[in-house]
Amino acid sequence: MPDNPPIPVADLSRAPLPTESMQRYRRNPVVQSWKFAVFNARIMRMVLKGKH
Amino acid sequence: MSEVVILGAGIAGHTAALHLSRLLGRQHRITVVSPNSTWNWIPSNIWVGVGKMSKNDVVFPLAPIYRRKGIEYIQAKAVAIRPHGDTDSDRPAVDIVHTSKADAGREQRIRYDYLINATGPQLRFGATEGLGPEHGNTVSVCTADHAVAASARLREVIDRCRAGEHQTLVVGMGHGTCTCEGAAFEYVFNIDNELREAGVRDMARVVYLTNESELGDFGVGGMTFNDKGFQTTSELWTASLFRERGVEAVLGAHVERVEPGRVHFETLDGAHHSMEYDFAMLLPPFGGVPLAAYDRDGTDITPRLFAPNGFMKVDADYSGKPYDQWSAADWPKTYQAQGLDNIWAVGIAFAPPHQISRPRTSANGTPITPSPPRTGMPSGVMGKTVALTIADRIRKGPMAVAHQASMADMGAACVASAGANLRTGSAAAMTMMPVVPDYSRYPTGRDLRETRGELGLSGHWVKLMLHHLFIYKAKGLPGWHLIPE
Repeated sequence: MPDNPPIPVADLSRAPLPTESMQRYRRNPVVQSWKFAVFNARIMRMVLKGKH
Repeated sequence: MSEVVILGAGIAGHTAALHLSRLLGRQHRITVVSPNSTWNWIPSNIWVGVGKMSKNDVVFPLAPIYRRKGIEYIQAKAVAIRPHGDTDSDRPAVDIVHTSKADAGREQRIRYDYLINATGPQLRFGATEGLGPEHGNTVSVCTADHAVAASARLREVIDRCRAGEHQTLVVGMGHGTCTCEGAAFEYVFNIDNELREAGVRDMARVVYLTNESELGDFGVGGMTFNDKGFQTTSELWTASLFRERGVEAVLGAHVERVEPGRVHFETLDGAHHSMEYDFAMLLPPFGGVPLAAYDRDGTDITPRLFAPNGFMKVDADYSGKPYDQWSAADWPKTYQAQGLDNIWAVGIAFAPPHQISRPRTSANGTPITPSPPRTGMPSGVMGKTVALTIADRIRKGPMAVAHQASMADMGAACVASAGANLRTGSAAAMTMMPVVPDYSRYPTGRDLRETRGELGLSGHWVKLMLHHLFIYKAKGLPGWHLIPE
């Protein structure tokens, strides 16, 4: 049985694709180690800033 | 000696129990009532659901922890609250039904001085015909056992791909009012990763079927990020990932029924669709765990304590004002039940005052709107906050000021892994502050300094670190309380 009406798949053709260099950046262990530290620092800052 | 009873041993209830034990010692009785004998780090069920972890990696038995901490543990489910006592005593009580193998079905009434309702969600698979792993045609990752079954089904699909059969995998929300979109988002990208690792990604169509009206909504109305000097949205950021991975998205969908191999759904424009599938992981909507409430003479006062969806009414504004008029101040701060100074509801158990995502209905009037998430980090914070309040009330007296932790003042991190490998893994890591946007303080509703979204290997490391940290904390091992909620 065909799908009727057609499945309304979202048009993502205008969504930006990462460049080669961005993909390398996302996998680079040195850069990502820094990002890991920054992310954890941000979580701790949020915990400290939260009014609870 | 005071008696504190905690209903539920999920993130909120278990956190409250550990903190109360730490704060009060053994001079007071702390009792946890939970129908489950194990604690489950639910965020890692995603990895169980793709076979990257076993059930034993994400669950552990509760009884030994509670024994070590001097916490009484009863394996039972609560069925009724009697906040003013009964004809025998004016001490408040909870009716429970035991669920352990040895004692199954035995009814008991236990008294309390302070009560925390942390019963979590009722998984309402029955809200959609054919939904769910037990009586339906879909798999789930809501529990560790569900995730184990999902993993086995996924292996079958991958084997069929290897045998040259094209397969369609549908992951998402099984009803128009579901919450926890982040879990489905994470699972769909873990599946994408599994298919790639197996070398069969080209044999599979992967579809994300969601009640969100736009990608990146996550039940919190989406987020605005500051990215290299520009303000961008979680929608654009999320859409980029879907396009990069070749995952199709169907938005604003309410699943009406699921037949073997075919899912039927309605979209916001009112159209009805159906789609064939070979594998479907669709999350259920959540409701409150069924709990009745009775006055001392036996009068049913359930509507006074609970909203119609079964969640407990707390110190929030439930006046039902229009969506455009709500404010961050409507959200609860102390989680104290309305009209009762010794009952609190935390985590999923409290009734949110309104949607965070804009409420939408289809052209046929069907509600298709994500419900507000209140799991994970916020649940733990609420549990600790209420534990602090109760400890103060016991130690300093009933007039001690309640501690506060509004979701409009609280940040949260959501780390959705998209491949589990220490060198090649990836994750979408998001932080938001506050969870409930406050437009009176921030033009975009949230603090742009703290509200961020990033993709990369480091996110996977964060997710793995959180897995080990929170299981360590939940086991109450030395220094556990130094790990933030």
